[in-house]
Amino acid sequence: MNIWVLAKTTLGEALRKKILNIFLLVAVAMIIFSVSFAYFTYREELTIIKSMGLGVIALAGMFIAIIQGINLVPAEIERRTIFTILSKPVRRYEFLMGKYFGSLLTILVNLALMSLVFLAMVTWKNHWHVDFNLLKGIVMIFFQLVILGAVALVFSVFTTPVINFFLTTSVYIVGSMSDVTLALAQSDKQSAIAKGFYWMLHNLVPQFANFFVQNPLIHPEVAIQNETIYYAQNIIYAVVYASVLMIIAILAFEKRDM
Amino acid sequence: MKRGTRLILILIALALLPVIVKLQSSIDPGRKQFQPGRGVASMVTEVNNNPVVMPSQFIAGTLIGFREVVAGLLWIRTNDFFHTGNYEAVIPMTRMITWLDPHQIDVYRTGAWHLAYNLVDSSERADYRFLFPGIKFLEEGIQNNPNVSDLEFDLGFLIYALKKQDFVKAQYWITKACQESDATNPMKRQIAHMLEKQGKIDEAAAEWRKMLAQAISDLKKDPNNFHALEHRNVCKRNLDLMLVRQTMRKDLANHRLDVKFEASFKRLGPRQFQITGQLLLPIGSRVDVMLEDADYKEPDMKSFTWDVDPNQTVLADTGMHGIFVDGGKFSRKFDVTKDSKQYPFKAERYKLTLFFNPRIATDYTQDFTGWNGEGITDKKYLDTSTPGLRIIKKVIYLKREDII
Repeated sequence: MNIWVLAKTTLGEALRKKILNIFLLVAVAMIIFSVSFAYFTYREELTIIKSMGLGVIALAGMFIAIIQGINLVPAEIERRTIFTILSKPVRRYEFLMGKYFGSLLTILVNLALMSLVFLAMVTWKNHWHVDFNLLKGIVMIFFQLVILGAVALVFSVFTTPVINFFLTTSVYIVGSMSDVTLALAQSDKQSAIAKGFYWMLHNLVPQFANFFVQNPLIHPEVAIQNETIYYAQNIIYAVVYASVLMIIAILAFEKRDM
Repeated sequence: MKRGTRLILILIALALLPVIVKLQSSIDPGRKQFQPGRGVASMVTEVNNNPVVMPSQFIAGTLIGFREVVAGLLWIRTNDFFHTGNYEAVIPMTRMITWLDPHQIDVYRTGAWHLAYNLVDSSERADYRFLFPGIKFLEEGIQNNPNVSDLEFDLGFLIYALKKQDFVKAQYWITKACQESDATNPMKRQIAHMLEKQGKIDEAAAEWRKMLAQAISDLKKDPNNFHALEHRNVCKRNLDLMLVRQTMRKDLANHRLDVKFEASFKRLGPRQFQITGQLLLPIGSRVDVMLEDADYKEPDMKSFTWDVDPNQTVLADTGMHGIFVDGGKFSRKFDVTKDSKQYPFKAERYKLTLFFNPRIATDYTQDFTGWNGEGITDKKYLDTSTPGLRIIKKVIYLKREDII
């Protein structure tokens, strides 16, 4: 119950934050703007609108998740509200989980709003045919942000927001370069130590690249095999990874002197 | 937190790590079909000598998985290049886009079209050397998008039929395109046209009949099917025309027309020359011109590159660009003084082929020649080396100093 109350409060606070609303507005404006490329053929136009729309949602979602995540704990400490909350019958892990789920709710609300505009634009340009397949891409973006939010939360337990921003962004960039890390881990040109290092990087750093599934959604004529299995594996991956990160965050937060 | 709880949490986290590794190794093989594009790093190593430079503002996007977005933005930029006449910039851009997103069908189509048609000399004549990169580019597109009719149709129609006049390959690719689920009726009608261009008139008529029957059947099912109605009308008209022509042209072989072909090459100055001659066929007939290095061979490209041999010279005025015949005479001046890049003339000897091919002639001319040249003859230049086809051809060998 405590977790749910905290989550709702976090969501309420986030929706009042100007910076997040600005991100949302800019993203929505960019999605609408993508429709202005009307001088291409029908297929090209749809390709551009879909790719731009999904890209903007992913990018804005990433910034919202990071900005939201890096302030989760430090903001409470700065305002000293954390002491009031923890003096009540609220356990530290409940506080952390409440904050995390509140952050996920914020991401969900933002994604939903952006997706609504995006789907409306695509439907309009697609002769009023609703392409529900695009929701798969948005679901994958959400689960990518589930991990990213957890990364930001872990760092927010023991770093300042500025450092956290750079740390979380770095993890996101490394985790988005799966092709590179996998290729290096399998390359015969690398020494055993280097290969081992890249293997660790590829398997232990959260692989955000797993969730980039836009291509077949943008090009529906492309046949994909075992699509459902791939999506399911990624969702499980996100949940398991976020769970591990939550455990780390809880353990670190319990140790923290407050 | 109790020590025991803490220990349990640590153990759970540790136990989940192998699960993460296992999941990641299961996800890796499947990821490629969701992210078929390649990154910038592989482009640098694999494109070799082609000067592909990714605009710096796009590099980060391609690295962190926004390849499709970058591809879309590059395509918008390419469109600007096209509309400002900067055609040479279009080709590397199309390469970059298809590298990032190999399912960009229209980029493959546009890139190949540019290569085959738009890299032109000062007289708007396409550089024949780029036809082959164009073919390879479309083939790569087809390989990456095997079930899309547009790419196969473009290769068959735009390249092999219109540019190369190779109607056998054209028919092969158009037929392949028509087997795809997104094939359209105008595409299907081109199969019959390609058979006609090969002189296979009975087969072409059979194809028209087959399509006509299908259109009639579709119309019976849905009388409001506009596409079927249009298809039926076109097929019927073309079949009727073909049957009328077949009857009209039946006896052409019995009273052949001597076209008295003559053609000559005259140097007018450095890189300037004139081709004149006679062909006793009706106005609108055309004489094709191919001027190439004497040892010219079409390149056998293993993979796509827009590098062409800078020392090679090929000048082609064929098909609809052939020299117009009026009053039985033809003449064209060639001035390539400003086009040393396209026509380097580095070889010592050149082969100039001047020919009339009845299969690519207009319908009106074909009423005199027949589909396969059965209605024409020539004492000096009749060429029957292709079975079933009679063309008129003169080959002139030139030395370098005859041209430059």
